[in-house]
Amino acid sequence: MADADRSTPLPVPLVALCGWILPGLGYVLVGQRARGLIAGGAVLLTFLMGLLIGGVRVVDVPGYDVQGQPRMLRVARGSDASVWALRANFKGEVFNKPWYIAQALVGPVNALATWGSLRAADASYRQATARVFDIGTLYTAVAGMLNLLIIVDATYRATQPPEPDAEPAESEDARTPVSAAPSPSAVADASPAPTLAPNPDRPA
Amino acid sequence: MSGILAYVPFLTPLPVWDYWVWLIIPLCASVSVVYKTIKCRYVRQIPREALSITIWILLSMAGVAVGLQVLYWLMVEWN
Repeated sequence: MADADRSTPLPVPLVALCGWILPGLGYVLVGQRARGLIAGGAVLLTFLMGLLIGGVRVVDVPGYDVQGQPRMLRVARGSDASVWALRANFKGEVFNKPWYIAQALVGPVNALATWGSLRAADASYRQATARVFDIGTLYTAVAGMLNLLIIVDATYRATQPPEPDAEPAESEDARTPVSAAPSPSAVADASPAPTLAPNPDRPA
Repeated sequence: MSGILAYVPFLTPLPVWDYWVWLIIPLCASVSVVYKTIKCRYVRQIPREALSITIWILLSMAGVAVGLQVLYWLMVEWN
């Protein structure tokens, strides 16, 4: 989609949404495919490295405990009725694990990792401890923050006139320095002298 | 060695207990690449600019680490 001749700008929310769904897709939509591949690839690679370092359980899902079970809260003291903590206290649960907000900025890839994290917890895979967990969380959260940056940049570029992704090839004219450009008088001197056309009526 | 053999990608943590400091390098490289992807006008400029800023970040962090270590030694010596 090298739409350098794109006349109507794409809707900014669409570019932002696509950039969230697949990191780098926002750039591709505004016609900067190479930029999108580099930035999106870097974000996805960082996220995957975080999962490789700390295991998929570095995605610590709000509303679930360390064993991957839904955290339930009693409705009232002495009552057997309980409600899911994420539903009862959404803000508190999410702010209790704020790194998940940054991880969620990677998009559906994080949703997949969330599902994997809960499945791994069911299969009794424990969370990493100490530094390895921290480093894995850092990688995945930084990936989300970087994706936010490229979403913002892609949406900004969507409002600007299309710009080429690659450096324009230098033409012979462009390579000529301004100072070396011939002066008008030099051009006049260099132009071929007027010649008389042979008169067809005149005998040779 | 047994830690490496027990490693299951994506499920168990990577056994990098003694080498975790080196994990700063890919993170710096990644941040640099994305930052320069945003800043550079042309894609061709990105690799060189990203490499340059990666080295700067690593050297700066190493400098801060050395400075803090020296400060720590001085404080220990004075006390």
